[in-house]
Amino acid sequence: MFREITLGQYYPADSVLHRLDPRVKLFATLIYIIVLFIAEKPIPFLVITAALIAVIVMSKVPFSYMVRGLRGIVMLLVIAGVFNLFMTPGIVVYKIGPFEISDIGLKNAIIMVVRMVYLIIGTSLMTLTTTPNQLTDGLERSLRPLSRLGAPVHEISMMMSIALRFIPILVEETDKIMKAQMARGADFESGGLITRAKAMVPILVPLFVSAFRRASDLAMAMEARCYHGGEGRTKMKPLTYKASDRVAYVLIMAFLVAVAVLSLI
Amino acid sequence: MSIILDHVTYTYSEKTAYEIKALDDVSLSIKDGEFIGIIGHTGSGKSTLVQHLNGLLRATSGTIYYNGQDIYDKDFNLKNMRTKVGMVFQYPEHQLFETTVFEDVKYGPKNQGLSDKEATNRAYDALADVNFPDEYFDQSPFELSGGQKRRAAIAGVLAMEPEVLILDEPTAGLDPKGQRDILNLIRRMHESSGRTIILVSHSMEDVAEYVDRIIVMDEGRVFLDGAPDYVFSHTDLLEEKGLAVPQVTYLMEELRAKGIPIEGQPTTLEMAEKEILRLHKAGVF
Repeated sequence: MFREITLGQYYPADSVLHRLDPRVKLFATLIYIIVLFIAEKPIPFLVITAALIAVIVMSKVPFSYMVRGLRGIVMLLVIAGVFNLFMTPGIVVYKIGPFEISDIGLKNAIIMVVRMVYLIIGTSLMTLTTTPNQLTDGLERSLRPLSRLGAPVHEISMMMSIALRFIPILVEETDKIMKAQMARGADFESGGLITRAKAMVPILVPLFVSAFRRASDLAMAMEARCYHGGEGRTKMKPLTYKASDRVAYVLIMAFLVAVAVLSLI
Repeated sequence: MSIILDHVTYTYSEKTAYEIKALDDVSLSIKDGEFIGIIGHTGSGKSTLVQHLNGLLRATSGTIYYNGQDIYDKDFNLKNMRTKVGMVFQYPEHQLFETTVFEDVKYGPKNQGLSDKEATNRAYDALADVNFPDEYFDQSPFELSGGQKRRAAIAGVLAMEPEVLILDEPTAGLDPKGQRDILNLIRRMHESSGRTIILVSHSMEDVAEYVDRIIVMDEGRVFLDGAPDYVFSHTDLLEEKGLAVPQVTYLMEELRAKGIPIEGQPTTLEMAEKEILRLHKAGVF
């Protein structure tokens, strides 16, 4: 019943985007987020939309996968949209009973909703085309300069990759425990808020117990294989830039400049 | 009390890149009081199959009837049925959560809507049934040994007094004595109360010794279905699917190949012993 979670899930396919260096994709995502917040006029948004569509097509990931990530934020979208729509002062363009919609409100609401939708689609594009391991590899490599300042970059990225690796395991475990308790007559759907919260105890306790058990097993297995942190550790597949990665960097910068210039004029 | 599966198919993650057909057109009829063993290698669909029997998984297509009622019917009370078809999952000790063993065993009966007194009685009986030592009743379930945890967890399902009991690999991860104990316990429950028992296992020896009907699963389909001597007479077919017959059956087949006139298909040590003694008396040796 939890198999439907897609946020942060990798979709295996063979596309240009899948083969790109994770550092490029991280950088592109960062630029994309900046650009989304620079853009305020229709023309820059058209450019962003065109770029987004092009990337979606290149990724070979079914569009439905990206939309699925949106389901979780539907409420947030509605609330943000409605508040911006009705609460912004300005020239009234529309009236529904006591509620007034101003021109600025309308514009803000549209920008807000478009930004959030694009943000989710864009970032889920990155996680859909990059395996969690690549992602943390890329992050570790990109943040390496910080380790000279004493930041535990390797440790953080190791923790991240372990955390990511454990999400599907814990999801499966939750599913199993839920089923086991349902087989003992547990009911998670009926009753008020307190009854339902109480009904979660038989799931949460075994889940925590198993998470700790797994964590200590993993720590033992890592030590048994002489893991001692990042120092002197080499990679089986070190990240190297290819020609396509360089082209991608150029395109990303061109995209940033184009949107920035179009936003200014 | 019968369970009938009518052309049941189940697909995991339908219409995605990860689509897997875990059950493929399975039709079965499970009668009252049967002791059934389900075997098959990993991924053959045995766990998926048993999870359909108490409605934990909903078939993608096909129907399941419990005592003649369609369990997917809107009016059918699935929650109630789940307590009648008890299910002991693999590593059931992972579901323990209460502060004491006794409280944990009471969880099922309480969910059935029984009073605290009745639930206490049920828990007491169930723990006695699994030979759980009295002195540990008030201990935290997390401090028990593996075998004791398993017993406590099985008692948690037994306390609901199910009519059908499904056990998914109940002996996995136990030492040989623990395995014997659990299997003897299951046999006793079958003999004393006559309830239907479905045992998922991949130990051919266990299955041959305890059950009276074997269902062999392969790639989501029922591959063989019948009494142990019938199923284990298909050595070639089973080996083709990566399965085996009990050691003793191999031995008897080898003796037969040496020209010793062995009758039938002995699948347990006892049966083999009887056959060898018979031949000995007849003067073959």
